[in-house]
Amino acid sequence: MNLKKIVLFCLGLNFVFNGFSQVKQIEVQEPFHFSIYSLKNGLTIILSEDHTLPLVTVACAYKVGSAYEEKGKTGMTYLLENLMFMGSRNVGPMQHIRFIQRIGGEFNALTSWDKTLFYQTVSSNQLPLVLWLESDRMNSLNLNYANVEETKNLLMEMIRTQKKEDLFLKSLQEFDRLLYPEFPYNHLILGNEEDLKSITLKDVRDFYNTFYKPNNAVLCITGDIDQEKTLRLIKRYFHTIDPSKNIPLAPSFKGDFKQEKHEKIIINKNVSTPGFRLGYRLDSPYSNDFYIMTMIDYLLLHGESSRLYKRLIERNKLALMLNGGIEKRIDLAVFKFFVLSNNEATKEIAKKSLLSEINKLKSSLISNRELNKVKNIFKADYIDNYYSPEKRALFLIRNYLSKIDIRDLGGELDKYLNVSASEIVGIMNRYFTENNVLIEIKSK
Amino acid sequence: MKIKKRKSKSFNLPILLVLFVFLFLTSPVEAQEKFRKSPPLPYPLPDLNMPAIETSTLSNGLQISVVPKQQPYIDMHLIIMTGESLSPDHLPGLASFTANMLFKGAVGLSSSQVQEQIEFIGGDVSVRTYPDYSLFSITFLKDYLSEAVKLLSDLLTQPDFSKNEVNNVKRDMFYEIIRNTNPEHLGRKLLFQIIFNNHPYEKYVFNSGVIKRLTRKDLLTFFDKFYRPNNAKLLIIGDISPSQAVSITEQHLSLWQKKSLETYHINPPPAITKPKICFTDVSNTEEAIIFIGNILPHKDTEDHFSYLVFNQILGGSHISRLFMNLRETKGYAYWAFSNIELFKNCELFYVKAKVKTEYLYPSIKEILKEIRSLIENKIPNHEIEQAKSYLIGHFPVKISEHSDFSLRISEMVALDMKEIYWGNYYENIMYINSNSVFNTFQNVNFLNPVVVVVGDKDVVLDYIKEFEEVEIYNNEGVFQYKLKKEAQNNSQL
Repeated sequence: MNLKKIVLFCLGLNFVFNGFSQVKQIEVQEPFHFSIYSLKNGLTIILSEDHTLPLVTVACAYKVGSAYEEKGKTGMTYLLENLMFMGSRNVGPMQHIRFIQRIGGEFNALTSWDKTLFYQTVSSNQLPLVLWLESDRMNSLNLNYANVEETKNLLMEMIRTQKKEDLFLKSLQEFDRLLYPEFPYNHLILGNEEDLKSITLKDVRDFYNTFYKPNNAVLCITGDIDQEKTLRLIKRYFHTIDPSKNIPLAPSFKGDFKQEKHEKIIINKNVSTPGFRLGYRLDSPYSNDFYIMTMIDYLLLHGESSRLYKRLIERNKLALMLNGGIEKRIDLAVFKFFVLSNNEATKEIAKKSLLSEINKLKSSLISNRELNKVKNIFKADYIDNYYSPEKRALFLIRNYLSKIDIRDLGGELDKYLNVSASEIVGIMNRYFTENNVLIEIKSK
Repeated sequence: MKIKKRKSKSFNLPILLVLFVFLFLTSPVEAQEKFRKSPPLPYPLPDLNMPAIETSTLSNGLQISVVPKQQPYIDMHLIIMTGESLSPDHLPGLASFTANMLFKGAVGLSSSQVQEQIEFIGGDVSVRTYPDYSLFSITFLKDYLSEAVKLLSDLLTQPDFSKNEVNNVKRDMFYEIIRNTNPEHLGRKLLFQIIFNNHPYEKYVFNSGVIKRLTRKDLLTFFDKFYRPNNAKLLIIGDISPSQAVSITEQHLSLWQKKSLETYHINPPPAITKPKICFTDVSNTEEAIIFIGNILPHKDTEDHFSYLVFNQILGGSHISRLFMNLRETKGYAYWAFSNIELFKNCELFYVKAKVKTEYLYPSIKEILKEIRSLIENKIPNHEIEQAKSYLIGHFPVKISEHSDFSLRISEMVALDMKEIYWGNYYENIMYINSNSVFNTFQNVNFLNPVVVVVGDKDVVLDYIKEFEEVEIYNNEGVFQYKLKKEAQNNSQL
């Protein structure tokens, strides 16, 4: 749901707090209680109280990720993520981190395809400090030639290290290029070294002024808070920050995401273990098929009693490493497998065994016991996603920025738990076709 | 006139320009609200209300501790009050081997069936063996307590220990030891071995050679002797009342037979009083890892909280002295921290740092200097207060995940720590001052710690030859030889 939708929905509701006429509310009870507000400058606020422990998580997400980058400017979002710690008008370089560390708090940041997220968890009496810090960098980030160049150099070094140390990076890049047909979805979040080099101070300032503004942000606070007091604080620190005048539309896939057959061999002399990557394009992550596909992911790959773990690792010892599952990138989803094996012969058997497990799911219904097991593993993971203030804040932001209607969040888990055995067979036949992407990794 | 006018014009232009530039440069920057200029004060410190731990004992001697807490899953920990320190002297590793076998099947139930049953209840299992106890942790959806306890009962009362699983577990343990060449892991292992030399805790670290000697017979004997309800505690954390929890466990675990146990007394290990430098080689590592540690006596509550404050000031976080000195100021290290591990009979205090190889020697000297300075001088009040503020703020943060929360309680239950370590944490930290830390460390022999260095011998040995004597060990902790300083060098540790 986007900001406009929230505001429209709120028009029909009573204003909640006296003196805060600019604050409007949505209240949701399931799967836990949370409320959504917005300030006049467009900042969306999500609050969720949990008084189990005297701590609070403040997460601030900006709707900008690597998919928003232009060709030739890859790495810009991750560069900005790092620059957000390099000081603002009232906070010195790296002082944001020092303030949080001094009070025993923890912090982190992440950049994905669709968002850049900053979060910190601290003792609940330190909430004013975190809001002061977070608002200062939203209001007045210190961007100058020296700190931009210093950060660029640091990131270019990271890219070189990644290239050197991640032995399977090349095959992953090729795999992504074949699975995701458009540039916004298939370039590395860390960016390209040459692109990063060419980014100027003006580029960075323009990017910041476009995206790192309240009307492109969601501020989520969870934990030991008093909502009214918290809203007053938020208003104090954020309501005078100017909004962005021109936020581009979020990237969305326009073409036909139907699978094409691709096979490729990559020779990797630096590795001693051969392997393969196998990928399938799926429907949108917001379609009903996605719930069924998630259960298939759990059936095949989650836990030591999962089908592929038992077949490839426990029983036949064909794979040294096995991972994969559904991957979402904004409005696209794919299913990936990555297998490493001892030698070429075991790799071939592993590949055949994997395909044979896929075929089994296409032709026979799974038992109730197995389906219930898969649902229980999923349910435990799903609940765990919101069972601490920090996880809850990230869970709320992730769902708010997705296309799921946040008011229906309470019904989401049931959509997974209602998947039937026959639906699994149907989906297996629809998506797991011969038209897949296969990358063979050979060691010589 | 005209000329004058011209002159006047040409004279005024630069002045105006200078004035413009001056005004531009000196004009105040865009105004901002006053409250943005400096960090706000915190609210008053909130209360920390930890849930109570309710304990009862079943007729077979099993102690049940229940912590009622509203959450959608249950964290259950079985604690066998025997750890690696009670493995036979010739078979270190037997306690770990036995613990690793528990979930590998029961009569009529294969290992993969056990795994399937755990996953069916949305569960996850981990097994840890410490010197003092063995810990089996299962987290599962809250509706399945009965199934989880029933499974535990099957595993404890009808163990199978098939030859096939014995071989599988031995193979996994063997490869885990020989494949783990992580320098940090090897450094901690060697530190432990040297510090607890000839003490039962030394058996906590064992090498791959011993795995071959472990037999099913040893396993059965160890299991029969120690896996008894009167040598165990069951901790249940979740949305359940103590009476419900006791009723369910009684229903399934009353079949578990108690057996009389010998009393084992383990003396506290002595502190190291003679400095020692040890080295182990990990080829092709670009940096060096340093561990420096010694034993602290485990005495009373106040001492423990003094240790915590001391640790925080020395190396508990990124703002502590070691990190600020070795990384931020001198640029020797990538990181440098200190840590305390709790045992039943003592506490182990150690510093660990990852340093640039060429700064290995000065890094060790700096760490030792920092330790000495903190022990010999009273720590300034502002630094004590800063450390206390960090510890108080960090406590709820580090137990905010249910798994960390329940692990902390399991440690407290296993080590028979008083609840003062739980509910009164804030008060105990606040009570500490500069004098209490100073006095605590006057009675502690800490100035001659063990130093362990891990790195590439082709590079590192050159940088530690300044020390009088360095003991060289292989990756499995087997002593190789002593490297002595050449006569002309007189540096001392």
